[in-house]
Amino acid sequence: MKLFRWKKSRVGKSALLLLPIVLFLILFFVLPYIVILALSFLKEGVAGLTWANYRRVLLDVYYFKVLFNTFLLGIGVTFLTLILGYPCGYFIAKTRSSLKGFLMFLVISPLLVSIIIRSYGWMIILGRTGLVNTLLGSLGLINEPLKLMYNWTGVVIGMTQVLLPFMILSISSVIENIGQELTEMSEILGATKFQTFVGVILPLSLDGIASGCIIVFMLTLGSFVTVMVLGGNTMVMSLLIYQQVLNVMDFNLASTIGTILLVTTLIFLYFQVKLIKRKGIGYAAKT
Amino acid sequence: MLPKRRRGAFLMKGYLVLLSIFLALPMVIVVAVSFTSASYTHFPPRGFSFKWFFHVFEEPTFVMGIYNSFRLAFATIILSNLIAIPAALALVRHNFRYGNTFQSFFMSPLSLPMIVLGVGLLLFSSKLGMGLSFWVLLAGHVVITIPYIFTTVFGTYRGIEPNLEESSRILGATNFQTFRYVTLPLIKPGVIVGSIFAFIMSFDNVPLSIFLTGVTSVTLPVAVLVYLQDNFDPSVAALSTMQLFCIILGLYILQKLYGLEKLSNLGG
Repeated sequence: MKLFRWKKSRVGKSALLLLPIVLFLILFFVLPYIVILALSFLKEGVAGLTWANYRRVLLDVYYFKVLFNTFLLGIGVTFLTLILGYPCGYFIAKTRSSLKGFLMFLVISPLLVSIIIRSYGWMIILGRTGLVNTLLGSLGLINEPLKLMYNWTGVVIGMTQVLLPFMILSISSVIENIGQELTEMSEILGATKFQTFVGVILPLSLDGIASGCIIVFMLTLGSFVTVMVLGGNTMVMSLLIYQQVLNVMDFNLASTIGTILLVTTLIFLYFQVKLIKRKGIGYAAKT
Repeated sequence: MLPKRRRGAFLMKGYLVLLSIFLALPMVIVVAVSFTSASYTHFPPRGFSFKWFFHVFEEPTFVMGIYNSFRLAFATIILSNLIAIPAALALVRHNFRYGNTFQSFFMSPLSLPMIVLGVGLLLFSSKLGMGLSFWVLLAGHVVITIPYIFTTVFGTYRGIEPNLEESSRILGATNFQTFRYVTLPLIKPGVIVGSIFAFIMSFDNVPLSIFLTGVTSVTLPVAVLVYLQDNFDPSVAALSTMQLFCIILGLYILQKLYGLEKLSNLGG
């Protein structure tokens, strides 16, 4: 009984340890988002709350096109990372060779390197006098340099490379959890390797695919640096926010686009949390 | 023609080689170009020199950016540790009713769009009349680094037996002594790894810093981004090579101290 009371009072004291972080996050994390949300419903010269900013963003052809392009970019990059990353994730999960460590290093190390450095690397590769054009030119395959950057091509290539590790890691972590017995059983029952893959592994890795797609899509929507460095005149939501704040100084419109971005992210986050709760996808929780 | 099974393995190998090149190429090429003696960025690089490395330190915005970024990153990890460690310790040892909710709350800065937070902080601070103050920038960086320190300390501490601390208390140590001489040494690997991640995230941050820095408080990535809008010379390559070298050196030291395999498990 005495022990119990001692423990109880310690819980009360421990709650104090949570106080600084909670207060800090409310002040500098929750409040700024609320400010954005509030500003999106205000407009200069209009009294009270208004939907005017939302109407403007969704009905104006230019702004709507930016939203549309951003989502299209998200879908495109998600699709590419899935196609390019799935076999690698599968290999990392299944192999027993020494390649595994090397591949893990290759996949994880870019995450520690600044996105600016990686995007800058792509500038050197894709530019007019870059690696690809020099190579193709000296082989006589092209007469004029290809325009590979300062357009969507450059953005898609750069973003795919930047976000590929997230896809590979969430797929490999799910495939690793598929029991060896299942694939062995399938092969004992006479299925070919391909049949085992289509009938057993692919369906069981759907959660990893979903989780990887959600992460990559969310990160594409919010991405900023790669588009700024490789994009030229291409416009996405995050860049539009930047422009509205620093050039046009229309804080209400910037807040509106920001709120759309935030709400979209929250919706996808909700699905991701549901996925994690269902299967306990290890990696997804970390990103 | 190879037999079917061998052909599959062959295809897989070819794909893995191409994928590895795709993942590593941008970084390899940046290093290669930084040693060029040409005055413009070109591949393959011409000649060999260190001149662009010296040029980095002749560019005033880079020098100021390096200084500001280091100052900001150090301040960030100190404050972030002070706020996140107590919370991680409390959540491991006590069953709070909403423990999981708190945990998700502390991790959520990782998932929400940072650029919106950047604008929000800017507008929020200008409403408070603080403008582009260093403290607002610092607060933003602390918010986005809290998840890294929280999760590594939480992971490390969860793996430690409570008996050790209880023995210390039974032997007459005060709470503070127990924390200082028992708990802190035990969670040290988690603190160090979390701080290194936090350092990298703060040092590389653009979406917050681009809104919250002015001419004199500019951080290195923002300075580089602005520089790249008008220039395309190899000085950015040289700068990047130095940064890569620091990251590799840091990882090597970590590996020597704790072993990377052990560290990669801490995040769970």
